[in-house]
Amino acid sequence: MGFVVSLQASPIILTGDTTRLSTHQQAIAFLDSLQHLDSSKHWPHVDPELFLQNLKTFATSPLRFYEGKGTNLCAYSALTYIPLNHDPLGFSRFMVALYQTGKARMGKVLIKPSAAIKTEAGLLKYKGDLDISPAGQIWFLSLADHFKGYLNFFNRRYHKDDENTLWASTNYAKFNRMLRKLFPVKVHARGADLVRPWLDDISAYLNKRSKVGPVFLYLNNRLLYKKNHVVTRFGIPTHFVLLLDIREVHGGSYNIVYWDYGKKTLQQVDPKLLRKIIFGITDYSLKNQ
Amino acid sequence: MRHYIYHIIPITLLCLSLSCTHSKQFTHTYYRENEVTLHSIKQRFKQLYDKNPFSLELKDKDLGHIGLEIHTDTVKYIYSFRLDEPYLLDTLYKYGFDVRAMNDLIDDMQKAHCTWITNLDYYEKRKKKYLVFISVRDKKLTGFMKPEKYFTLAFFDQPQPYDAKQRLLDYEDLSKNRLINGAVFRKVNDTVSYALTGKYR
Repeated sequence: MGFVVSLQASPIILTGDTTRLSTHQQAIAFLDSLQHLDSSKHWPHVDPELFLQNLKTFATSPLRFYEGKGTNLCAYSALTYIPLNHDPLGFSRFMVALYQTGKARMGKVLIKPSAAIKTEAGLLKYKGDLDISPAGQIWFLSLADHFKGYLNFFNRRYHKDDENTLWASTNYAKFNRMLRKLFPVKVHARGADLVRPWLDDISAYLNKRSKVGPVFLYLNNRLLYKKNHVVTRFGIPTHFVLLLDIREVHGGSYNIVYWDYGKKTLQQVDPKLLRKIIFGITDYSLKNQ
Repeated sequence: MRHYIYHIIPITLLCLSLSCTHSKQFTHTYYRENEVTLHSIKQRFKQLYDKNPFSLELKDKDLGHIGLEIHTDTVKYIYSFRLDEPYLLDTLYKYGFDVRAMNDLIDDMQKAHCTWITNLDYYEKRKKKYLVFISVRDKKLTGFMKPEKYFTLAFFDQPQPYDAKQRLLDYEDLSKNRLINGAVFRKVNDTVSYALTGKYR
């Protein structure tokens, strides 16, 4: 599989991604107005200054949001695109309330993390930039603590290092449920945990849906991003990403640009691999659109 | 029938025990035999990385198919080439790589059976640091009825703490092991640690 060297990843325009409930400037103005946060008794290991700094970074550079190395937090990271882009002020207010009172409401859900989560947030280590993002740790751990799917059945309570285990995992139905409950969105989902979406032309479908708005993909990451040389015949999806762009290039391959791990990634895949790796396609529109 | 089983079970056990011994021997001898090449790989990689952050993978057993990940501030470009294709050179020129140094790095990696090299970032007291992470794929690590293993090496810039069993410790909390990609690493020397893992990255 060769590459045309003139490939460019930008500019990326998500044509349907224009509706904003608030702006990044409003979020920054709100955070600046706080000036200072006192330490919270609910989050003993979170430095308030660093927490506030994290929230400002989320507001100014949403695509730098990072789920951490070796964790199972990709689903929570992918869905964070919605509040950070459509309502950064709402997200900042939610996070500050969660920090100060130990609970806060987002959408239809009252997030009230368990004591184990409150103790652990701020202590995650060797996860790359997540180490210095206690706000990110609070958000990820709180979501994983609140939302449960069948993958979490045997490990429902947080223990040390559970961010790397099935405790944090997300199946496709849970992901779509989280979107519906947390945000004012209409969710349109195709696919399932073990069965690929029944589509004649998956790339044409992705093109069409990404023109309406951002598209989340539920992927078999072992094929896209190999970590060993084992030939896998029966792949299962394990990773959520946000698809930012898909374009056909010469030879019938596709350049896909997706967002995960705090960065955009541009990768060329052939149509066969594209069909093989995608198990779920979720797009959404804001309810007031 | 039972007569055959009495032979098959001990033979299987013998094969398994021999394959374990093989892995142990490999970890002891590989670094010693390839130390010069490994340090040359590390140095070349760091010099190239300082100008253009990237990771490099030799994908197949023949070491003729490479994966190149180029990291810019906001985008990671993932490329895949055969070494006999012209695309690799074109791409290296386009991104401003020192092509000769990159070819030397690839040669060294082939020589030492390295399948993956990258810079891993980590934080100590909120300061960002890097270690060079190299994975080695060698047929000596593949035993009968055993999944493929990788000999992974972590090259630190500063001496690291180890416990009495030579396991790498957390610099900030010496009561804990320092895991890298979820694996416990052991001492090669003060700045180099190793582990046998099921994943190369």
